[in-house]
Amino acid sequence: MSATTAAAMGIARERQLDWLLGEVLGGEAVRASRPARRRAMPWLAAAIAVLAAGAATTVAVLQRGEAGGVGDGSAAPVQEPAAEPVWHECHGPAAIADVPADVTALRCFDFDDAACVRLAAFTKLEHLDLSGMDVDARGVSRAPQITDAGVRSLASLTALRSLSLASCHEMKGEGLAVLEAMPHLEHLDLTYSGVESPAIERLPRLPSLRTLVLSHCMNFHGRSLEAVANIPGLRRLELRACTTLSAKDVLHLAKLKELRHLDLRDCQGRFRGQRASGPDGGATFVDTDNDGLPDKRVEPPPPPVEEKT
Amino acid sequence: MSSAAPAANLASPPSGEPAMAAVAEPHRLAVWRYLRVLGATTDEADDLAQEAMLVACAAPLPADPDRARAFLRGVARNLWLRTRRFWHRRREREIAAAVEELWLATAADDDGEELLAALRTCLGELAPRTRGALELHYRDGLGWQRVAQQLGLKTNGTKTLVQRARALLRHCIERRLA
Repeated sequence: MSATTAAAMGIARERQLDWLLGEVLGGEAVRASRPARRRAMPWLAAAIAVLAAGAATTVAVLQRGEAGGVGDGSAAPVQEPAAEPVWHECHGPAAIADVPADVTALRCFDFDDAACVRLAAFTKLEHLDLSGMDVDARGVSRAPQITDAGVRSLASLTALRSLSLASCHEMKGEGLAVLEAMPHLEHLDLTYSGVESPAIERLPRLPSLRTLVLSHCMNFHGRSLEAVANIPGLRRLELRACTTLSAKDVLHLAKLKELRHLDLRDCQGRFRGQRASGPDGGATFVDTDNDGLPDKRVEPPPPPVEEKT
Repeated sequence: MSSAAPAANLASPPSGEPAMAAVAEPHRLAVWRYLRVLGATTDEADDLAQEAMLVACAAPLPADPDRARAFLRGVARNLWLRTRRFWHRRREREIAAAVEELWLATAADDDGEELLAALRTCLGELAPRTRGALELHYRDGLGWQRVAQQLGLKTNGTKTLVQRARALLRHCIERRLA
């Protein structure tokens, strides 16, 4: 056996042991209980693909042709899940006193701006989730009362790697400027927040951003995606139910060479070119079909023309 | 899904499917395991095993089960190599040749069932902590860093522990198959 063959045999043995351990301990086995069927005609597949591309509701997953193989024969598994931080939970501002000073992952419930100010002392925080909502005695949960002032008070947390401001409806985005001084921030979740176009357009200044979640945000204009397309190294972008987007806006995202995952579910484009937050340049939106959603833009009456004498 | 009942995982082709599919389907598990030894992930092995079954539908499969298995292994190997990047292919081809040799020597007769039984026995001989580390990784899907945290070890210490365990398991399996 030549040296190369011996090396190859060593790798083969390692892979065989990986398979054995996976099957015995991991319970993995062939999952495909699919009977073999003949392939559909290529033209039929192409027709289905064209139809699918036109569907109103789209999930687009962009994956690079990374083979990701097991090339070294090492014992490491092929797909190792990312380590989930050990979260410490803080239920209400009053519970801050019980949070250890060296906490690195903190999930906060029912926080407001004053509570955010007190968070500034936890400078070792790497993961911060401010989206928590507890249910009160009446079974009701209320969105966090965090505004841009509260976000600005997080400026000292320069070790942050992930930040969730989901459901912070009062947060319009001016406070996000402080994140530009956080060199490790990789994950930013703004789901259901009130973030507006100017704040979105500043996001390319975040040096390490890899994941951006803007799902259910309707206060920014679709054209802001042109700026999102300039975020270097963005790998995951979630825009679910951003109904203000149009297809033209999304085309800019083709510039994101590192993008692996793009979520465009429920982006029907119903409010494309608009902002659902209310008047846009004086226009208002009215609900014409009584489904609770404003669906028709009504321009303000033109100003009266002064007659020249 | 446990490997204890592999036959239950094999779909029997519905009536009306080509006869070739009926011939190929019983070999699906063996093809899947062979792909795993080649280095495919579970997902890749699922897909490539299905591809191999489709090839078997279109091509005349030898009636002799051993020849049919060898044919399907060849198909699976070529499909696997096709998924590798061009500059990895040469190395993977060498490894694939070694895998074929190893498979013929240890698993071809029973699709690896004896190997699996030997490993189950050998796992029983490991120290509880070592076995626990392997279970945390392979059963619970934890990365080595998390495994180390759970065991109160450093990451490198855990890796050393697991490397020794793997060496022990390899020797134990070889001893039992000899």
